[in-house]
Amino acid sequence: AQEKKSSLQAEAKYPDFRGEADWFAGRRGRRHRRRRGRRSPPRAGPIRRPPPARAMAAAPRGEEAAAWSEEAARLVWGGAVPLQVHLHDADVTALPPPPPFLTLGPRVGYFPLLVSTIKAHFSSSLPPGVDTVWFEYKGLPLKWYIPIGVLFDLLCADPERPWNLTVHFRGYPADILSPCEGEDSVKWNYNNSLKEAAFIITGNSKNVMNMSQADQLAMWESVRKGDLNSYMNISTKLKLGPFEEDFLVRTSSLGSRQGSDEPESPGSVKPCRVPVRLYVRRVQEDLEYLEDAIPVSDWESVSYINRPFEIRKEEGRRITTLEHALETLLPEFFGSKPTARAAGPEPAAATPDSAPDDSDTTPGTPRDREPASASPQEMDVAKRARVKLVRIQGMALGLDTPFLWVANNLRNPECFLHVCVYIGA
Amino acid sequence: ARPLGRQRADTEARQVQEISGRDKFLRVIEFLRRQLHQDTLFVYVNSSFSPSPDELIIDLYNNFAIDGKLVVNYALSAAWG
Repeated sequence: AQEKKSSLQAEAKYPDFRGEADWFAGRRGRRHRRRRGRRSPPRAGPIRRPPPARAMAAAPRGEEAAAWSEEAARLVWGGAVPLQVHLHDADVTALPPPPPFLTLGPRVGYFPLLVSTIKAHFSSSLPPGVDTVWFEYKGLPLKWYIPIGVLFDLLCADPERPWNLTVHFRGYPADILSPCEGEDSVKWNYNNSLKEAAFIITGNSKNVMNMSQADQLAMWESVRKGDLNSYMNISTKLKLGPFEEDFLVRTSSLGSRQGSDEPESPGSVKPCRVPVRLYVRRVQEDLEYLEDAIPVSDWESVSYINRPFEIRKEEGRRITTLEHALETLLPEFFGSKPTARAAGPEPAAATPDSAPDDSDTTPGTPRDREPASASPQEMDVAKRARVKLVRIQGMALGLDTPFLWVANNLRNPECFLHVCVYIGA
Repeated sequence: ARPLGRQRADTEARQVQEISGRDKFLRVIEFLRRQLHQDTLFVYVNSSFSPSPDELIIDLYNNFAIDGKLVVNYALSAAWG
């Protein structure tokens, strides 16, 4: 009861994540049905089809944009997943078995960082000896280096609040999970992911490697504690963003060979590459309600793809949308480039045959393109019909959201944007 | 510590090992551990960062290869950060 009270008090400090996420997502002006901010757990509704791509007016600049960005950062850093952690039966040595532990898992945090409080709660029930802590959801061991929010978005098709997890203190599944030595492993993983992101963005990791030790420690501490203000103080020095639509990013002058005495050394200018980590989960092709999705039982059924998005200027495209970015990153699922076909239009009823694992694509899928039915476009629509859900920071964003806004405001502290995609297959 | 990434190309025949793009970086780490008879090894890409063992080789290659080669460095203790 003591723990429950304190965790409920903790909950009061956090904004109502779901309500604010709905407002926040609705702010982008999506036309389709908004998920209402209910207090009770939401019923899973039919899967919303993403609206057709449409040109968006240029994002507001200046103060308003800055205010939105700051608000977005606070929501992302303040967002948390309510967890109900059960001790694994075999690890219980004292009767009666301990009640589950209620706590909040920060979306941008990691499970090993919660171990000390969880262990304190269960300490009287644990067997003596060395602990090797790991977490599991419906039989699937959770990869400790994936942020908590991403695991929740990926594994809980119909968001479960609180999220019921099992904690184990023995029997670490070394064949499935890479070893974890607690906070040190998470810190190592964070620092290296940050260096990797820096390499993707600027072409080298020098800006991170040249950070003072004090800054490096302070940055990790800010992530560990979820302190956005400290984080911003240090991360702005790294100049790893914001990305701009002129598709160029200026590398910091730390990258140049000799120190320059010029008042403004612009460094070199490169095409802008946005670090993205994609998690593609296969669900039933005819899935209508999220709560019916088959749970992930094996990491083999999730495709993890680490692929940066390079901003390029293209004819007739002023704003890069999320949809366009996903088409480029996952052409096998979103595809917009027509495959090479014989000259001449093909009959509308022709079954697309070049998608490798499509078996029953429905030619009757409602189309939002021009009525003249070229097979490649029909196939694109059929491909897109397989995309059941795109989830970023817990939200199913409209696919017409400007991609750079998403990349700048919804990325994680290590500067990667994590995107969960559900594919019907 | 200095990274020990040099092969004695003049005295040993160069070995070419194949690895599938679908494999994980873990295979490279384990291969190096076996070859060097070291349990603890720090493995980096482009002398910059240490990828997660679960990263796919094809992704690392596409993202970080230079002149068609993915440069992997190794050290017995943490060399960079």
